[in-house]
Amino acid sequence: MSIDISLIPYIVIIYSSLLSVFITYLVVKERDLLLATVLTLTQGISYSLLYLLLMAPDLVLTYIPVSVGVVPLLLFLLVKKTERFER
Amino acid sequence: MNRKDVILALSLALLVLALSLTITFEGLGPITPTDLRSIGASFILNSYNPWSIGLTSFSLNAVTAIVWDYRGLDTIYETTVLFASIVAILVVLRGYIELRGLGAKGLSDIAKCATKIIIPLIVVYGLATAIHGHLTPGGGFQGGAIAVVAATLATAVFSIEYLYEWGLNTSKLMLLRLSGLLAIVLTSLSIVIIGVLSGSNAYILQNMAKNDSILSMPRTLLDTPLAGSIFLYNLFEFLIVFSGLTFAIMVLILREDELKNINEVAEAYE
Repeated sequence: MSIDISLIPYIVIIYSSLLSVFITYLVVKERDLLLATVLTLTQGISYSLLYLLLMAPDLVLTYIPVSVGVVPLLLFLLVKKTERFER
Repeated sequence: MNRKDVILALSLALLVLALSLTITFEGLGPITPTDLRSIGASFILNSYNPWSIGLTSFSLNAVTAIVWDYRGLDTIYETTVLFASIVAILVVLRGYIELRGLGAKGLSDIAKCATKIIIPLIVVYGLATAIHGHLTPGGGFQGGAIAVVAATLATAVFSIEYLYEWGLNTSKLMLLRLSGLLAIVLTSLSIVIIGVLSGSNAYILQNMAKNDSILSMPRTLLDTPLAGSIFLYNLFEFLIVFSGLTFAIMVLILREDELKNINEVAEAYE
């Protein structure tokens, strides 16, 4: 069985978009807010992979610092100021 | 160990595999269509084309040429929207005071030492992304967003107390932000001012010489392509985004004692 090499980008795109939907479901269901923040970070990684494969390097350069750097750190600080577990 | 954990671990492992595939093959090749629409073809043909005076912008990066030259007015409005959102944060939290010596220590010495090494690298990388915006992918907003990560790390690892010690406070950041916005407005008006003084045709937001206007921004600096006003806009946008987002982060992590006056100020206004 041989796969055409030009199909691999499309397979990776389909996989990472499905994974981001799955992780979004987990983030909504998660009761531990610290763990939910880490899962949000993973979703950011899969989105930036999508942007890179769809030939938008400018968006990747914006999305990586915002989704992997700023938003999780702000959410960590927010969790620290309030409560870790959702009731 | 239930089924959900197994599925999550497997899918994350596959994500790492996909990431490493992408990095190894450097993007897995282009997925762009081979037939371009006429507007895309005209942007690609004209963004750096010395033989098409009047339409070119001398920017090697076509995206930045569109963002700051062909569609410059849109980007200036985006900058204004960001400015308005920061003003909204300031309105909600008006009446805060900055206090020192509240006894915040930050994380351990190892984390502090590692962060001290990393922070200059992040800032330099962001600045390089911003001032090479007309040559490589990136630009002012991207560079500013990268540099904000350094400020966020500093607030998380060191605590806000250290930012005050380094001389960063919210009024200085607001001043930097306002001067950056003023510089963008002045850059967009500079050709018009020169044109009025010298008595020739000129346009607002003009970058290179047009068919009925000979005035233009500098297109090279010491044999390096400069792309005229695109370089200046990227530099000032870097300042605006960095100072604005750092301002927002600093205001959002203010301590309880610094926010005591908010209710009294709000009642006084009502």
